[in-house]
Amino acid sequence: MALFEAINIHKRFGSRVVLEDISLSFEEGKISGIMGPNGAGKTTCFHCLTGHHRPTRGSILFDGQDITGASPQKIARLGASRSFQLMNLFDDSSVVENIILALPEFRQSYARLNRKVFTHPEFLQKAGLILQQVGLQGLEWQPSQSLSYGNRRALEIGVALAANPRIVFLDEPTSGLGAEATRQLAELIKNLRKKYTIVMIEHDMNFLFELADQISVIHWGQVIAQGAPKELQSNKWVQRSALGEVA
Amino acid sequence: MVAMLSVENLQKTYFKGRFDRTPTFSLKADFQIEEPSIVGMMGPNGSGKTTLFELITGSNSPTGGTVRVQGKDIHKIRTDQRDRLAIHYHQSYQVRSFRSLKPNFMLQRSGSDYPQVHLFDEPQFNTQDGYIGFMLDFFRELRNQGRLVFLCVHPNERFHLEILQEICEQFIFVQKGVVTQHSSYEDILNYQPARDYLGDLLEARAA
Amino acid sequence: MTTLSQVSSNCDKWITPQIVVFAVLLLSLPFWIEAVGLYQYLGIEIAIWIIFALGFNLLFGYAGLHSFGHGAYLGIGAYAFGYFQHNVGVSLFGGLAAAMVAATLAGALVALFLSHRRGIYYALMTIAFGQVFWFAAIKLHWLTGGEDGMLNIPRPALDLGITQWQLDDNRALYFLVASLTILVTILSWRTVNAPFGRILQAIRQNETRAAFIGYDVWWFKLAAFTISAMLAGLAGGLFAMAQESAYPDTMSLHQSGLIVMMVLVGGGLVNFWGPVLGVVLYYLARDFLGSITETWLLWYGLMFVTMVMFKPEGLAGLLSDLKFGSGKAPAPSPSSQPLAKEA
Repeated sequence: MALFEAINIHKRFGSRVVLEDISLSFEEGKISGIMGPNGAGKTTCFHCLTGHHRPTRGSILFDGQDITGASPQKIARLGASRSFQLMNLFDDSSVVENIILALPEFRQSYARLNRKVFTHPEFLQKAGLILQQVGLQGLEWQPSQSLSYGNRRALEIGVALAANPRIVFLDEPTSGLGAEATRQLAELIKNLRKKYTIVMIEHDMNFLFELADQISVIHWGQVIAQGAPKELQSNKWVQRSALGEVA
Repeated sequence: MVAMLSVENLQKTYFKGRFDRTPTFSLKADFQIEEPSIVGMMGPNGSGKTTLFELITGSNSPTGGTVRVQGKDIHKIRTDQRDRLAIHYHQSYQVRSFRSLKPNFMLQRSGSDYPQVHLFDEPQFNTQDGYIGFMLDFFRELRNQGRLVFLCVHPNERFHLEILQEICEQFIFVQKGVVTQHSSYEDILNYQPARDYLGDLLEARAA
Repeated sequence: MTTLSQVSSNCDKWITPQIVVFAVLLLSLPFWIEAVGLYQYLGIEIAIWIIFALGFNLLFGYAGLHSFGHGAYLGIGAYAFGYFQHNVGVSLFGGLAAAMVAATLAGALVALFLSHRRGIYYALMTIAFGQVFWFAAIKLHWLTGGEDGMLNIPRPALDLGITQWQLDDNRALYFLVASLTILVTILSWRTVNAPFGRILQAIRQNETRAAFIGYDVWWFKLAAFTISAMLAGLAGGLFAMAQESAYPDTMSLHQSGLIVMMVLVGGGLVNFWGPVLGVVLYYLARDFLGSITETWLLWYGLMFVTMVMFKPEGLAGLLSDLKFGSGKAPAPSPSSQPLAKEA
């Protein structure tokens, strides 16, 4: 059974249909990709899956539990975390604090006045592991807004991982990255698949074809194609495009 | 059996102004599409293609005539449910306001959750990104599920014609407000105004 | 650019050198204040307003929630203290408890309506509720004494069972207030650096992200407002005792604006000690400028404008620049050790 499932999601804002009919299912331990042209409804779809928007119709299941219309914090606590396309960090805070804030151990100690934060061995150790995972070791005490663009992208993913999620939603992780940084990110995501179920929206089709186990193409608020990278690449028109040559 | 789409004596006339009733543009259409199908639509810019789409989806009210989607007069359906019968996919997302003199509670329900007629208004076809194939598969999928698909293309490259030929089972040609129906790709190429309109592209194809 | 959320090596401590210096200054104040040409009562006012300002900055600076109607909770505390003395019994702790409970309840009630809002809408709602309380204080004559205020509020003695201190003397009252101020300062310092305070700061920086990493933002905003109102209530209760009366003016929009101005001038947006500096500066300006000209508030206002234009970080920012040369503070790091490499 799929770990996370969206069934016939329909979302409209007033008279405007943004998602017509989206059904997706994400298998445990797999990397699922979502691609589609600008304005196709990919980010709105993520917003519905992670609780930012309540779908007008349809249902969302996480590990068999109906989470349709649940708040972002509830979905996050159940173990679905996400990154953002436009970076969404705690800018005044240091890199390590961005991670610590997202640790469940920290969150659960919110009422403890005596709990140390920045000299707490468990917090520091867990945050250190996450930062090592995303390649930010050594930058712990930098203010997050002073990081380079690529490092901020990595931190964006680090914050999503810190919540110790079962499934991670990444919204356009390569957006704005150069070739070398994109290659590093691909390595990172390959390593992450050992531990997490990953869903990512991606513009860069080659990136998805290389990493994903399953891809859904979204256009006009609907899933217009679905399949393994090989199946999608075998399409006549994909063969004719620049992607066919790469594949 | 009820026709998928029935456009009966449909007429839309635009006037110079509220008081100056000199017609500036007039569109007339009368055609029927019985079965689920993929219909190609062509015609020069300003010929009335988008107006026809708006009339079919009920976001623009006609001067005369009716549009029936599976037997239901779209202009008598609640404005917030018209897109459950026929939906217009614009080139770029924009909010279309549905207007009606009658309030919604006096209008009929659409009785459908998913649109029956899908009108694609000049979708972005780009040979580089490979999406064309997925889009065409999707059109076929819709048709196989019993929907009616309109594909409006303003061909300015050879592969646009290839797409139309590959996927469309019949055609609608619109020019200067005159709407004609053609049963096949060959049929529309035999229609002189369409030949004139496509002009160079047909040459390029022959070459 | 310094920010409130910067981490120093003191963040995980209960007592820092600054707190010690502050406590020594406060507790020694009665022995030198008259020598510098001031008077004992001024010390009481300053200490009370520091409590108010620290509580206010928890909301304003740390959580980034802009309340412009906070005078209301100061006033509610004052009235509740007076009401308790007049109608329940003359008791110091009872009165202060009543002041805090009343302000907490009022704050929680208002926060229920506020906490799903953001930015300017939040600020406007705080003004609206502040005005409602102010209006009620004027109109509910049977409860508050109307525009004349509630008069003849006694100063109950500090009764610790074995001994009893009379607080009629300003110096005695000062020591009580100063002790509470030090206590509130320590608790505030801990609060803003404990997980709760860091979460509030996260919400200030990015409410959306805070929700997406699992925080119930609404609840935290409610809690911040309520705690802040509770401290305002404590300050209000002490203020009623100091003034031996309570009157509607405490709750006016003007008073609510004053606390905002003090916190901003002091540098509450960049430093924990900002509100303290702001309160001290305001009262010193009032006394010094006030002795020179009747239009002292105009000059204070001009100083505020200048500060906002040239040093938005306030007095605290100015002082930290002096301390670290041209504002080039080394990035503070609580541990010189790199983080754990392996589990």
